[in-house]
Amino acid sequence: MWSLLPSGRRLITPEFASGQCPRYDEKDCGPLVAPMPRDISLEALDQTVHRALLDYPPADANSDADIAIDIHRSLPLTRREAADPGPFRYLAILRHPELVRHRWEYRSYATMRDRFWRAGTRHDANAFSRWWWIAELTRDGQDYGLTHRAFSRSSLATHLFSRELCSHRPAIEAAVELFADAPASTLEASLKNLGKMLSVRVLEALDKEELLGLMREARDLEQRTV
Amino acid sequence: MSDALRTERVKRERFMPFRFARTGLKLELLQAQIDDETPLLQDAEDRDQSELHLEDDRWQRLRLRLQLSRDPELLSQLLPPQELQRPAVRLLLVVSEPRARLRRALPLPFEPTTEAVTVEVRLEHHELAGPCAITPWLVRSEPGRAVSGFAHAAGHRLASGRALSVVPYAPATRAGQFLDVQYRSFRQDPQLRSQPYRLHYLELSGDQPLLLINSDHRSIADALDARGQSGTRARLREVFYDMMSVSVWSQLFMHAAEALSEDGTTRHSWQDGVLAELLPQVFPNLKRHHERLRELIEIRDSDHALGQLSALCDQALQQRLDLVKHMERLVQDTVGVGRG
Repeated sequence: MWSLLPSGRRLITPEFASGQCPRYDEKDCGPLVAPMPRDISLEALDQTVHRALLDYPPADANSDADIAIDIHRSLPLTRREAADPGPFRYLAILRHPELVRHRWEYRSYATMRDRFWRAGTRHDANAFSRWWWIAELTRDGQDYGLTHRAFSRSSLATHLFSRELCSHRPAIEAAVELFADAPASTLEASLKNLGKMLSVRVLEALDKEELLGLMREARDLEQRTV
Repeated sequence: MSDALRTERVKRERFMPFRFARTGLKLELLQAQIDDETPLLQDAEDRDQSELHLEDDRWQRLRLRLQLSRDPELLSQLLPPQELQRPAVRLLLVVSEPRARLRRALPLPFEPTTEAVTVEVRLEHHELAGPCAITPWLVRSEPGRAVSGFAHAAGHRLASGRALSVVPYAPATRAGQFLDVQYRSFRQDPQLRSQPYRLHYLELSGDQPLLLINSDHRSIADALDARGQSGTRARLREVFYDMMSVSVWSQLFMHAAEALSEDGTTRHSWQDGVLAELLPQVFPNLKRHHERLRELIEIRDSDHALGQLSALCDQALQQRLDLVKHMERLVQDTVGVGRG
């Protein structure tokens, strides 16, 4: 396992992002990568990626949960290691760019570039970083039930994991329970209201039930406004 | 100055809509222990320090013994009189490290008559990638009757205090695009303690450049660490980063230009990266990278190299950094648009 250095950003050309230049030879990119602080085998991850390419149709948002869980299980990183975007950039740009292009249809260079490079869990972040981190934030040991539910609707995952509150598991549990079937506009406006409510509260002091109550208030406030 | 030329200044501050004691709690570090080493006892005068810098990155577990105390009159200032007999409050420490997405609450026992409580906080090496903040909070535990001017909902903030920041010696994150960034107390650094006036220092002796930002300048470090995308803090962050970037990029560029050999190779991969990134703006009329490298070598080896290179670098950076756009946004956000 390697980490792609910041200077590796120049590898994401329009031709690479669109797939006209499908991949780089890792041997030519030696100066752009650095070894990880410890050896991490990629055998299981390689198999996961190959299976995903065969099992799921292109541009299938329904595949996100299964891919995220399989990638998390086969990539044993600590949070400290995963805080560095370099390993995820290595996976997306040098090791398995075909999975990024398989999952996401090329629509614009700027967005596709972010799906290879941007760190984090936003919908347009590096695909491997997003899959791994959402699985990490939602799992309970080996139980990935919440991961499945969080990915069950792409608008839910999009709005939830672009906000800081997604680092607090009870907040994810409450949001997934309450907004599973909510229209995207209600979800977005409710989470905005919730953000304002949290500015006078301490998020970490609230458990799932308290957060559910607060989210209901945020949703009702939105519905009253409409 | 005439009224027409006078610029309106609006100072914005964030206030809580109810009674809140921003410095009502006091968090003190009594003892720190790394793995099984002898615990380090804090001298009485150092106990209220706001930062703990670890000397070494080779540790597994850090144990901190902390004391949280409050003013005896605190509750009577924050709760309506009828609630003081049985105060519905919760005392907790929040442990947070945004890079590794750590957000943990550590509930503490609360006794109305006990003004200080001692607690142990354990931090694992694998869960920290950057500075970790331990912040004390007093919040409402249950909803109460709404009384004007008092917090009444569960979770409402009542009091806080200065956070203790634990800085791991070598954070593993790469915050910048071409270099690692670390916050460090220059006052506590053996090499930099003689230059406490510095805001930053660029370390170029290793394989990868390292930008050290002086965390002793607390308000500036906080502004640089601001995470929002809108508002004055975000605008300040953009301008502060631009100002540092001009200095940092100039140094990176000069070092890369100096290291460039006749055949177009450099000593370190980051130097290639810097040249690939900046040369298109330094030489906008040259289309190919090898032509730009050749032109750079020619200028560098000429009689007026320093003056020419610094002028070219400055022009490229001003274009690259969007300094004007960021300053204009800051002006708009702080003093408004189109006045005067």
